[in-house]
Amino acid sequence: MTIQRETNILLVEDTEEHAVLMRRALENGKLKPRIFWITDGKAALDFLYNLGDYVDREANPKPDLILLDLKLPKVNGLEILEQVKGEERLRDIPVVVLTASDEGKDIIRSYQGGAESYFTKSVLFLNKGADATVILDTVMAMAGV
Amino acid sequence: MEKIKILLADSSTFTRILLANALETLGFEVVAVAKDGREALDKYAQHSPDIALIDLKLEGIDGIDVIRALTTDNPSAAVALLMPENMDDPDVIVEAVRAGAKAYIKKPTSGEEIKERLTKLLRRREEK
Repeated sequence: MTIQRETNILLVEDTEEHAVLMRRALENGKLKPRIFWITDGKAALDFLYNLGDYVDREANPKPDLILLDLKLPKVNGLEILEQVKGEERLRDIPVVVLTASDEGKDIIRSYQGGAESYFTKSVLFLNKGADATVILDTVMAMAGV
Repeated sequence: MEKIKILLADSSTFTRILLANALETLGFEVVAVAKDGREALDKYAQHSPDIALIDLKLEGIDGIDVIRALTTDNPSAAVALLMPENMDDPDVIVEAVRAGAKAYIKKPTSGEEIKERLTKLLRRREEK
């Protein structure tokens, strides 16, 4: 029998309502991941570099996937994306950019910045989040998560 | 848990076979594959998949028009755009999102890359 290692997901999202819906969509999916929820960009970088409150590498592991909101306090999502994709130790982590906006500039910058996928948060509010679960499961599988 | 049913539309036979096999290995059910836009629309109507993965460049009716057609009938349809890893003109992603794509997904560009992603996934499943 094979035992699946827990999948660790870093969810960087400052709007509580969106984070709750996102967690629900993930928990209803195939992976049942362990979710680390962080609400600002500076703390997200601390988590990824194991700095500040996150020095314990075992308690704060390198995530298998980052779900990244773009509009964040302190350090914005595109800057985090740039850091992750520019850092050898981190660049293999797939990044899915989450945003409420269909702002063209953000979508293009996410793609050019190396995001594996872009997910429109409006889906969280449709069909009680069932579509969000299907899309996230597929996105994660395609990204090798 | 029931398997997620997928419609996969891609103009390349190579990509269709590789991706369909990879998705099946991962526990999805690929209920239909389509090589062009018309076939994608017909098979979507026929199979009602949970999610449609639509390649950007499809013959006849192109990917963005397929996305627009699917989401005009059902705005909440789970439709994602399959994107090449590098494109000169990323404006089309914006067009696809505005047409109703709920996500874009970068597709692996080679069999080697799919194999690498699958190996990574399957290895993790075997780890304790």
